[in-house]
Order: sequence, then C-alpha cells, then structure tokens
Amino acid sequence: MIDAITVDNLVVAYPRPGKPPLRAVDGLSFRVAPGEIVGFLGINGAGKTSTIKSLMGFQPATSGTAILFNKPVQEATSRGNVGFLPETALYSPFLTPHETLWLHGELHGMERSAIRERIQDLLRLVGLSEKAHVQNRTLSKGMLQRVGIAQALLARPRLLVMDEVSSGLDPLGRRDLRNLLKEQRDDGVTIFFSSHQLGEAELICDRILVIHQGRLIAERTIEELRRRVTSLEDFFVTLVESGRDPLLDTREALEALR
Amino acid sequence: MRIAREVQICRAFVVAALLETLRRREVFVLLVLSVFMVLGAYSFTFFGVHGLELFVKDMGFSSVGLFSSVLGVAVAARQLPEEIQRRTIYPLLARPITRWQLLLGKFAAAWVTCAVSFTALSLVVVLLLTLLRIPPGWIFLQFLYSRYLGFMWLCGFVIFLSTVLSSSGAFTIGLLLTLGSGVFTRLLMFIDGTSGTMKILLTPFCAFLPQYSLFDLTKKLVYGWEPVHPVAILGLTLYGVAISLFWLRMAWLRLRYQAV
Repeated sequence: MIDAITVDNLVVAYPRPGKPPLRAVDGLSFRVAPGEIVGFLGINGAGKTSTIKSLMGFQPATSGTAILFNKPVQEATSRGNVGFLPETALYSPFLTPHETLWLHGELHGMERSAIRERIQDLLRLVGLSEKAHVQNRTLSKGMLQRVGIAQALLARPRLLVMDEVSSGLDPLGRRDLRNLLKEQRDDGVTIFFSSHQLGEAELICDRILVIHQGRLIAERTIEELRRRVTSLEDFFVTLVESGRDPLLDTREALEALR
Repeated sequence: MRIAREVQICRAFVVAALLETLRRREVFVLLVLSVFMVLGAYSFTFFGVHGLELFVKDMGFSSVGLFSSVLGVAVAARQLPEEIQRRTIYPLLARPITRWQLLLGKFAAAWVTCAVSFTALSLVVVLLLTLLRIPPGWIFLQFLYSRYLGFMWLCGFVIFLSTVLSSSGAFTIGLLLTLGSGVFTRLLMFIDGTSGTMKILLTPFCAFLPQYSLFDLTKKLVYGWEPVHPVAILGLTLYGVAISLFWLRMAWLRLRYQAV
C-alpha cells in the first residue's frame, strides 16, 4: 500500500548572515500510513512548522525528500488529495465564507455543481450556514477557523495536514474538531497534525512523532504509551529534556544509535 | 485541458479580486472624483468662459487615465505581498496549482480589475461629455484598447516588483515609473534620430524600459485625431503582450523556489 506521507532525510536550513545556516529540520525521516491519525509533537521552535511547510511545498527542502501519495511535493499534483489547515486560518477579509470556499473549489479544479453542493454541506457541518454571506472580516477567530476546516475538507481529501489548528478554538470548538477528525478517520482519511498540546494528541492520535531541534526523537503508538507511561506529559518532558526516548530498551537504543 | 485549467484558476482569482476591489470602495471614490473633474471643468462656462470643450475633455480623460493607473499599481502591488503578509497564501498554495499558475491568476486578477475599473470610469466620463455635447470621436475605442494593453504591462511589471520588494515598495516604485514613463518615451524619440550601431544597440534596451506612455492615446483623443493606423495598433499589441510576459516570467523566476 502507498504511504500517505514519506519523509526521508529531510533538511530545511535557513541562511543567516555571518553565521552558519540554521537547520530547523535536520535529517528527519518518517512515514505515515493511509488511515492513520498521527500527531507531530514538539515544543515551540522544534521544527514542526518548517516540516509542514516543506511537506506542502511552501518551503523548498535544503536536501532530502518529501513525498505525498507517491508524488514528490515539488509537483503540484501531489496536493490533489490533500487538505491543509494552517495554524491561523486567515482568509481574504473582503470575501464571505461562501466565496472563500468557492475560490478554493475552483483552484482545486472541482466542477461548479460539485462546489455548490459541497459548500452547502460543509457550511452546515461547521455550523456557519447563517454566516455564509457575511464578510470574513466580521467573523471571530473561532469562526474563521471553522471556515478553514470547511476549506480543508472541501475536495474530500485523502490526507489532512493541520498545523496547530486547535490553538484558536474554544473548548467546544476543540471538541467539535475532535469529533470531526474521528469521523474523517472513519471515512479512511489520513490525518497528520502538529501540536504542542499533549492532551489533544492523546485523545485522537493513533501514533505520535516527537521532534526536537529538528530531529525525530521518538515515535510511539498511543496504545504503547498508555501501557508503559503514567503520564504523557511526563514522558514528553523527559524526552525533550534528555533528547532521548525513555522507553527505548537497550537493544532499541543500540539500534537507534546505529 | 491545460488551458481550461488555467482559465479556471484565472477566473477564480479574477472574481475574488473584483469582489475585493468593489468592497474596498476605491472605484466608487474614483468615479465620484472623475465626475467632479468633468463637471468642475465645465462649470467655467457658467462664468462666461467659452471654447472649453478641449479643456473639459482633457480633464475628463486625463483624470480617468491617472486614477486607473494609480488604482492599477495599487491592485497589482498588493496581489502577492498582501497574501503573504496575511498568510492567506498558504491555503492557496496548498491547492494543486503551480506557482506559475498562481502568478498568472494574480496577474489576470489585477489586469481585469484595472480594465473593468477603467472602462467603468471612461464610460461615465463619455456619458457625461455626451450630455454636455462634447462627444469623443471613434478614436475613443483605440484609447480604451491601448490602455488595456498598457495595464498588461503595468500589472506584469508591478507584480514583478512585488516579488522583490514589499507591497509598499512595489507601489511607490511602480507608481513613480508608471507616471514618469514619459521620460523613457522621449528616449525613443532620441533613438529615432540616431542611426547605425547606436540605433541597433539602443532600441532593444529601450524596449525594456517602462514605456507606459506608449499606450496612452489621451492627447489624440482629446484633440480629436483620426484613429491610429491598424499596423501601429498591431505593433503595440505585440509589444504589450511580449513585454508583459517578459515581466511575468521574471516574477516567476523569482517566485518559483521562494519560501513563503
């Protein structure tokens, strides 16, 4: 089966005047299988957003490869099955949610009748039917995030990539988002999301990847973590402070070193 | 198939840009200003001044040209930098579109917005002049067409500037070079007077200078000239399309690997 995401030895470095380049992502490798919900965790500045930017083709990789459904991210068609939700969902302030979704449907290459139908369904799903024709600049941050969710789901993606999306939502919004993601997973959608909210990850993920200083320092299933650690937070803090997975046994540690 | 896809992308950006421009209400303000310019110029007749037809026409069409050029520079300068600054570029680029298609869509959006605004302003001025019994001649159609070509240059050039400068930087430099382009057109006249190697070397160089004034037929319209020869219009069309594509290509070279 084709992986939804394949990242191999990815490096994203930012040039700095008079200093060596800053390696925000430093030799990162991982895979995400179809149908999985994977949390991409790390503290601020760990390299999560740089990785996602590179995956979506916003930031060219310095070296290494990133592939979505067997297509390199440099190809525009690699994003044909992807829905993306940025950290802060900002859309043209002078357009309405309906027009915003229409624009995105056209850019995605959808048929006009399909766009019309899908917009109605999605606005109902995210609870914005009544605000469909109000300009975005009058909407609250949470409502804009809902427009963003509708935008990401518009073309019925097989992969959802989300960058710290729950940060702008209130507790009710977060619960709705969680339920929505579970529904998407039940429909076979792969979900890859970055977050530094461990509780969020624990509630919805199948697997977590922990990144620190641009490197992958742990990769565990939630099932395994529930069995082996008392608190995800303690595990995460130990991990980040030591830079080493506390659950690695000697054999695994040796393999990791190798 | 590929052309149909590009048309769909351009259409999407054009509709969004037109809605945005309408809701910003810039065009309405310019429309009111244009009407005031024409009526203000005509009002001198109430004080017994006669023979003002040329003056009124000049005020009307010059203000329309000026206002739409300023609007054009503003619209083109904000297409890309504003999307990047507002971070609205991310969901757009997350769609299966190439950066060239994004650029082409943004160019089409800026160009159509300029052309529609200019046409609306011009038609209001023509209507007003006709009511005042100062109708423009047939050269008016060529005046419109050449301006559309001029807007192609303007949008391509300013979008290129916006890939190397900030939105405000692109606006300022774009406005200076657009409004001051008459200086470069005078250079053409100088080259016309030269011969030999000098002429061969300077002519292509001149083509890359901001020659926006070449697309301006305002004075010919005001002074009631006969329509320009079709061959000249064809030459202007070829030059306008080629130079716009050149600047768009330059913008693409800058944008294609740029991190956003």
